[in-house]
Amino acid sequence: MTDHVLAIENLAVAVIASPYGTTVVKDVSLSVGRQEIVCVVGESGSGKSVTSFSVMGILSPGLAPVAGSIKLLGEELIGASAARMRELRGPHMAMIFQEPMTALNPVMTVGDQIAEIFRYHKPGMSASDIQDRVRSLAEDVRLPDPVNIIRRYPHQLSGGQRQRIMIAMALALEPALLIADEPTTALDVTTQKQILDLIRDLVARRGIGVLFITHDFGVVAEIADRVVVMRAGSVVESGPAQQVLAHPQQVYTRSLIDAVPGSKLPEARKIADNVLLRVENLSKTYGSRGLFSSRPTAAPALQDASLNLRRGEILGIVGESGSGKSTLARCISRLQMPSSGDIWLGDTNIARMHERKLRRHRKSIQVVFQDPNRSLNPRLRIGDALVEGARNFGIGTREASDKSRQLLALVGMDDSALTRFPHQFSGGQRQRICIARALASEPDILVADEAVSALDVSVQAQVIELLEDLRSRLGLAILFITHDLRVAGQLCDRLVVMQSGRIVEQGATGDLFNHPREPYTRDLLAAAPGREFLARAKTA
Amino acid sequence: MSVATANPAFFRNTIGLMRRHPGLLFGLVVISAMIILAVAAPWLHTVDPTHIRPRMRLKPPSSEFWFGTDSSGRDLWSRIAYGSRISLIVGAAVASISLVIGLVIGMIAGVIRKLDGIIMRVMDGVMAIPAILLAIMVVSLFGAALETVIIAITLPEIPRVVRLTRSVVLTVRGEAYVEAAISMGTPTPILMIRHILPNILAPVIVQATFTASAAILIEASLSFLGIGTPSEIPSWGNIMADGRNYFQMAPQLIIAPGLLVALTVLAVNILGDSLRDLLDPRFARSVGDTR
Repeated sequence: MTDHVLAIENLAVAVIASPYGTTVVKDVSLSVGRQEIVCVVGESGSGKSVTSFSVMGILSPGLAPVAGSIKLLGEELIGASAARMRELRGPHMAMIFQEPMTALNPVMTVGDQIAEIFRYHKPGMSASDIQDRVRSLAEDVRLPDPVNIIRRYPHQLSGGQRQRIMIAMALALEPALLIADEPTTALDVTTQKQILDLIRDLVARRGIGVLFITHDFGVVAEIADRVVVMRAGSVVESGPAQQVLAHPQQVYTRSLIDAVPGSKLPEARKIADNVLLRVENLSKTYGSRGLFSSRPTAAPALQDASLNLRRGEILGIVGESGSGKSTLARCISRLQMPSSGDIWLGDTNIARMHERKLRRHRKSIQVVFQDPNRSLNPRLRIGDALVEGARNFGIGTREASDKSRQLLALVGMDDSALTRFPHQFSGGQRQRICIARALASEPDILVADEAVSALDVSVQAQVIELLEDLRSRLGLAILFITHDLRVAGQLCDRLVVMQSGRIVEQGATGDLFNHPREPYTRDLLAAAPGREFLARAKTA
Repeated sequence: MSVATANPAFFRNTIGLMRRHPGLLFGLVVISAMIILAVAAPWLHTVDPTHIRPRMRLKPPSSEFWFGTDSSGRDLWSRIAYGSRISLIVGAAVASISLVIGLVIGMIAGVIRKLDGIIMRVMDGVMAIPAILLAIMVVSLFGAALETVIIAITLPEIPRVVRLTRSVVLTVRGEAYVEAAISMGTPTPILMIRHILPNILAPVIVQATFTASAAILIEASLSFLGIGTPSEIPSWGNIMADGRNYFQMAPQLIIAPGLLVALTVLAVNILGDSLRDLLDPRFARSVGDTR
């Protein structure tokens, strides 16, 4: 079949260094046609990236394809020489990655980096021809003001612009196949939507085939022609996107689709008017403090934020990166001192309290962080980590360790965890441990700073369930910070929308979703991937 | 359960470790040999290293004097064997003293931000003084003795440890688990000992091995220049200093201790390198993982 850009048949990839010959990918077959976007969906460890790396021939040392075939435009890639693979990468296939900043050279202008591709691959091209091509590529990927933007350095561009540059570089030599490995995962929703639109548009205009790797069925609903679902190294299900989304054959696929947050809005609950935390006109300006001088930088990270948090309430703070939501969370949990404003915890204002006095009040506000891999001390056993908070607040060792057992049970883990180290747990388990640790000092308020963003969708759903459960059982108030409107919509009673350091809108979740007042809120809602599909699913 | 009856997996693992890190094996073997030489010197065919025999001056190697004798008729092998004690003591003492002092100062600078500027400027000041010059000054002020030499070499090493410690502390401080501990109201001293110290030790220990090898070299250089260990104590530097006038007649007077200095320093450095690979998996991973 020559109309296939890429055809993978029965591919198996194994750890060759291991004496056990551990297979990480087995029996994977898929194909990508011209003008087609094929999404490979799976959670971390499903082998989706290994599959794409095999195509590009950039597998980590120690991994190698051991069976099957990969044909690019009819040419077999398995067993192809390193030199041949180099010739193919660029003119025939290209790849874009998740984090565009690390993929660009920080000391070269982005225009030069695109131009370099032509200098390597088309030595005969004249300098002015190259400049023309670079400019037209920048136009192609819809960069604003292409003439000037190609003279800038990567750090001067936004995340979305950098990803456009990466796409421009990938498309420079007009490859037939583009492999996109989670290209929008690190981007804000509105930017994500633009990049997805761009990729779809390029496919239509240029007739390339795209192998699109993602973990998010919302993105799949937006962009895919066909879907391949992977789990633990094997293909679970594949087929046309509409069909798989509407009638998944496998339970696993079903669960992944259901795990897409925002499939349902929570019912409005009655919450007693028992205000635990009152934040008034909170502002934070980062200053660069030198030895001799102290001058504030221009833009405040947080400006005049005011909100209330009641007992038993989950308040969502949503916004894109740089909106000040994390600064707000860090000021409320007093990991940072706000520049001005008040934080009333009951009758006490902790906004600018001295650390020594503050220590007593820290008990009431606990934080769960984004990355569970980094929020547990790698050299402390779980048991020791769990008793620490309780002991700091004067609870005896025995009582504290009894309590840590109860806490583990509360977050759905058993006692055997106590004597183990953090690296022996999965990300989801670690996040449960972090939640247990935060609960050890019996706080009134839990600040969850992007606490589910680093987790796979199915794990994400479990942790959200846990938070909901804890709220109703312990009467916790939760401040839930997230960039993902869909997650917030699923969990939160009220939402606060932030943009460039200010609160633009706040209100009950249902009202805000159904009748957003501010244009920015409307943009955010419209950009959430998979929205149309979910809307259709709801009416069906 | 004693080591002898420990399960064979322990030995298999150790052998596997040595095979993956041949540098570790080399470093450990050479350094162990040096330690044995230093500790067992009296029983290794040696005589009193300071015993002068005017009739036996500059004898070539023989079965009685393995490495020959020096210009005063002292047995070179005995002097080298006893001299290894000085090198090892200086290396170990300088490394451990500068490690402890540097760790404490570096952690204070990294955790208590108000003191950071002052401490680091003082350290910059100390670093600006060349190590050898400082050593000459200290020795001429307090007289030549082993302790003085150790202090003189330790002083300029401290700022290096402080700088390293501070920079690692700053990285670790930003980690979420440290912030979590802060939000749990953990007092600063406990925060430093429980959460920060265990996570910064690896690079600092690696630095200590490099400090040890530098100290061995500097001690030998100082003694060679006649401003280090008192000349009546046999140290490798002193032996070379004594022998430099007789290099053409008896080259082994310089070559033998010189080789041992080089071998020891090489072994300690290689040990440090493999310790870094072993203790700092991030470094090893960044080499192996191309993603």
